[in-house]
Amino acid sequence: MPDDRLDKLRLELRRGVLVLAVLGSLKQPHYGYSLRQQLHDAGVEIDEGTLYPLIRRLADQGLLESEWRQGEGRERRYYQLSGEGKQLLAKLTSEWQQLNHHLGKLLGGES
Amino acid sequence: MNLIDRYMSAVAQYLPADRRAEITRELRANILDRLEHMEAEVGRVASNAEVAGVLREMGHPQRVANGFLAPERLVSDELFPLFKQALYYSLLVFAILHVVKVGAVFLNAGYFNWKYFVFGFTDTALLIFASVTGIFYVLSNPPGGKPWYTPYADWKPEQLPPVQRPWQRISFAEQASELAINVFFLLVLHYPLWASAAAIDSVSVTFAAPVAPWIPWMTAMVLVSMLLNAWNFRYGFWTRPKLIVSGVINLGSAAVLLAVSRLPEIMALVPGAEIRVWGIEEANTFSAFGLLIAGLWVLYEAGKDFYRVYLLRASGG
Repeated sequence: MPDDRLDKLRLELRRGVLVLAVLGSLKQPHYGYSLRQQLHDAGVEIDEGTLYPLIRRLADQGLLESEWRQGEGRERRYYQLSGEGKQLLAKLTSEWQQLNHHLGKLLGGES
Repeated sequence: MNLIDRYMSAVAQYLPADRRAEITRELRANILDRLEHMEAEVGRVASNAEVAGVLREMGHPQRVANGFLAPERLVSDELFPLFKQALYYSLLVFAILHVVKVGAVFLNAGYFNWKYFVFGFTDTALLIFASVTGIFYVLSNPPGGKPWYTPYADWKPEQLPPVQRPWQRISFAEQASELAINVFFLLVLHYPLWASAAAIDSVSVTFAAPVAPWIPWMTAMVLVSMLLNAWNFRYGFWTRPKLIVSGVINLGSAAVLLAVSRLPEIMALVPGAEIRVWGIEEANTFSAFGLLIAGLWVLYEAGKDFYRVYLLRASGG
């Protein structure tokens, strides 16, 4: 398969999963850069130009709470799941697990 | 002004005023975090080149700013097929009206204005493109966010046309061009009714006396054909009754065209006028040949209609 087609499909596949990864990471408070580091450490690569707008969109939808905090001589905006975000994450996680289970059966048959 | 300030200012210019301060404040904090991490790794203050590298990795200011805004499209994915259709129909209808208009001007003035034919079309076509796009932009990005128009929401499978064969679908382009030919033919037949007095005075040829009794027949055929056009625009598929009507109209038209092509004289010189390009005999030969070809073509179309009636009958359609 040509690389560009693989890249395009991989991008599509990852797009929806990134939201789940970000919501899952924000069970604990994080500021933008620390969130990126956490995702990187978990093996989920996301460029800053995608991550920061995504956090803002999730916050605008009421799924995240945020507050500015002073630390190490500088201010940082910390994000964490809101009550609504927690409920949505629980539903999405269950959805993801079911999907994974079903896909596992389909993909497992591949030799 | 350091590089980060310049970058923030550049990002800010692409953001709406009410969100500018909040977004740039947060973006600046994120960039400083990234630099701080890098400085901790190398054990010194980042150079200007390194700061520039981090900013380049962040992306072009316009792209970064755009990422923070709600996605906006000229035409939404859902409305795009309808947008293409609306654009196609509008441009096609205009193109046909333009051809008819240029034809009428040609009949009136006696010469073909190429400049008007090309530029008259381009100007208005661009205006149509902009207008249709503008309407779909508003429909795709409705103020308040609630869609005004949901074309695919209410439909029923029972309302789909009973079409079994691909040729049963009537193409809009085919109907529109047929309508244009009918309108043009009507204009030519009744030239004295709409042309200016000066244009009529300058005419050098006219229909010969033997054609006169046929003009009401030809007019009637054109008018009935236009009614069928309207019917086809409303219901864009062939059924047996429609094909029979079309076949009868084509048969009648073919009979009239072939009869007129056999008349001893079709065109006549207006007394006192001199024909510009050909002699009147050549004009008659050319007209007779043209009418014969048109008559045979329409006869073929009638045959095709009746053959299709047979096909539909055979398949129970």
